[in-house]
Amino acid sequence: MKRTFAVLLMLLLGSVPAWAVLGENVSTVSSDVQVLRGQHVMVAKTGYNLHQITMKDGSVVNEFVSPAGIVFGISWQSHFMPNLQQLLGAHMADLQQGQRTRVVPRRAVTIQTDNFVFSSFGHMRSFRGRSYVPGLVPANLTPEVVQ
Amino acid sequence: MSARTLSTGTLIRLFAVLMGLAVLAGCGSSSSSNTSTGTPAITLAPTTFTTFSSGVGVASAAQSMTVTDAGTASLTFSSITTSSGFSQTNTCGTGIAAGAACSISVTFTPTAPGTVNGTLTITDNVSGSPQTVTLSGTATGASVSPTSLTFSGVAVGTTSAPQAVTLTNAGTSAITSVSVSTSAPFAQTNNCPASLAASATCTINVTFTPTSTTGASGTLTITDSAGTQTVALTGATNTSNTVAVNVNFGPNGQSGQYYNGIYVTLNVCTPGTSTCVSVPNVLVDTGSVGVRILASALTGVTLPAINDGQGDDLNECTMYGDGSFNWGPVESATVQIGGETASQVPASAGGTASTGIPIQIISTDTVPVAVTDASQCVQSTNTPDEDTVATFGANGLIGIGVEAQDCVYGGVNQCTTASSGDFYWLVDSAGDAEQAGVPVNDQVWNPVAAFSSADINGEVLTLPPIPAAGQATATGTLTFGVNTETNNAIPGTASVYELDDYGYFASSTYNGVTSTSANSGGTFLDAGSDTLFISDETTLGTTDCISSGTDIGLYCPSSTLSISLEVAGTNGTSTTLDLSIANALNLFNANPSFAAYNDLAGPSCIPVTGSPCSAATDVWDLGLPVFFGKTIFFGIGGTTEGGATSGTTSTNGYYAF
Repeated sequence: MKRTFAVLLMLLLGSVPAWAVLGENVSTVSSDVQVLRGQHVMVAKTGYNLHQITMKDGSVVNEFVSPAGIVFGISWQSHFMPNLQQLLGAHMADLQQGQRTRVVPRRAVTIQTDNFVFSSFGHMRSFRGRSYVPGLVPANLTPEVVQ
Repeated sequence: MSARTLSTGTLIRLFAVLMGLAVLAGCGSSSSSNTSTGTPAITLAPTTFTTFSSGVGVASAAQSMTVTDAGTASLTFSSITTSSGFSQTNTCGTGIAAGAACSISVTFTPTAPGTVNGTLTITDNVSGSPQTVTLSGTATGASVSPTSLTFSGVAVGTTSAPQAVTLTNAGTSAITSVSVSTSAPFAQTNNCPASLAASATCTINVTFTPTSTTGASGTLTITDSAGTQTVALTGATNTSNTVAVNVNFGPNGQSGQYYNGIYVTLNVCTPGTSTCVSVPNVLVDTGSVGVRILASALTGVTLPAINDGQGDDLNECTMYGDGSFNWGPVESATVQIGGETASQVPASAGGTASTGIPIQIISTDTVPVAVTDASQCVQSTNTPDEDTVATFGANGLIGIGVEAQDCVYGGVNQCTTASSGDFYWLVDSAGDAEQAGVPVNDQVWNPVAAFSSADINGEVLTLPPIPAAGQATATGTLTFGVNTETNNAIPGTASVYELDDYGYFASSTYNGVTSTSANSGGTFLDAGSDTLFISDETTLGTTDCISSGTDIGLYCPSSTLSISLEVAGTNGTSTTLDLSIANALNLFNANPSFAAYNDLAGPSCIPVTGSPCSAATDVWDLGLPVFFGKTIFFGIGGTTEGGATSGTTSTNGYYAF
């Protein structure tokens, strides 16, 4: 038995994308916009800038940028787990390290180290999570803004 | 009944007894008349029988002979017998008086084609005893064996194993115009020729394919030149829409620390065949959709790949809320669980018979580079690519959440284009991958929505109450369908909670703070999670008492806490869930062999000083602990709310409890 269906759209990445963005310069936000194929809006907030990427299916990724131009936090509300490799950049290794030390099978996770905080929850159809680097949060803010 | 109300039946029985006494008197078996000194004499009428004939295995018509004592003394019988193939009954008892008569009735039942000769032997007190009568019988015409068939325990939508009926021509000439028929839900195949030669046999195989849980009866009819032969057919279904679920440590045992795992056994079959493999220890998950089985658990079955017709097989990157994932191909299989069977995507959804439903095979293969570049399916020595029993804690997962397919939410296919979700991929023989949009029928299906029974609109999970200290194991019941049978009706004391666009309660309120999807919160019921994920660091503290390394584990309050969470449906119903949070470390230390707990909770937030968790903005994933002592209904989106025959359609699915 063979079933057929159309490949309606194909994404070809010409090269390995530059990993962004947590802990990196605000300029890396644009690579997230490209990889996530989203609409990009920047909103000036008190003490930081919020870069919001809205994907075609309504999923949202928020990136929190300090006055120094550094992405200190990210969050997401999406139908699918976002490409964390893209969003976490070098901090993907911190996530992997934390996941490895899980002692039980969970379906939600929180990870906390001195320079990396991460939580991810939800189920098929709706995933939510956030991550930030404590040392990069501007002194006049609390990590609470990363929602 | 009182003595004054004799029934008609009683009167008839009394009459029969009186008649019996009269017969006994007439036959003169009493010794009171046996006073002469004469001799008995025996006469038979008629003196011979004509040749008996009958089909193999069928008793012939009876022939009778009257025995008269023509002598002057009583005739006594010591035995009346027939040889093999023949049988007799008689009214002669131990003897008859002079002048009296009794009768002997003989039948013939052939066991094989051909002619049988035999003898009726009467041993008595007449000179020359025993008297013998020659018997001859011929097996003739068409006969069937057996003359009835019973099928039992057949699951709805499946076909029973065949049972054979043999048609025999026991005659000496061919029987012609042989025709065999039956009617649904029975079917037959046969090797009978139109003309069946003398002494020949042929075989008819009969199967039963129930389409409902109601049993069926029918007839297999063979018509031919010898007449009509019939076989009575009776079919009983496996009426069970239930299956046992077990809470235990799962396949990795106690050392695996997989507490609060809830497991079921199901069968995965090659589509259109009865070739199946039983897969135990499959995790029951109400928070996801679709059957996903480790490749290592699927020995002996052949599951067709789903592909694009150009050599590219459909694969899936299935992601979970904890960042773990399953990678592997989507293939077609028939799934049996309890008495239920999903053997095809429903015809109403465009499926065709016996083609199976799409399931995911969890593969240990390397995830293609294109996939790891673009998705969360990133394999490394650290990341939880859960593709073995050791890492997955199960042989597979049966996702029976409130959607019918894994990429259709709110009735809308979210995977019509490749741009959504990095979820489905086409992989060619060289291992190169490209993203794929996938039509509904090729997505991984909630097997419940594809059952061949009426129980396709959801399910009910019932777990027993357990002590606060936990319990070694617990056994509950998964019942399929909502309001489709007597055992899955929503009780009047329960309410229906319609879910929002994200599959969450419309709102949940804790300590006066209300969480909704609009502010990125949400609460859902998830048997596949082991814990109550609750954000309340203010009450529960930030102590991470379980974790090793950096993984924050479970709350360990100094004394057990009771908290109340008010949840509401989009339809305006609301109720309070009373949750209990014990010190997890104390529980585990007290009873290391216990696997089932109703009071484990962990954080659904990042409890860092200066960043208080907010119930308003965190997702509360209420795992298995909330299920103990409850019966919770799950309704699939697109079905009628509450399983009613008419009324409101549930767009996003619902809970009821």
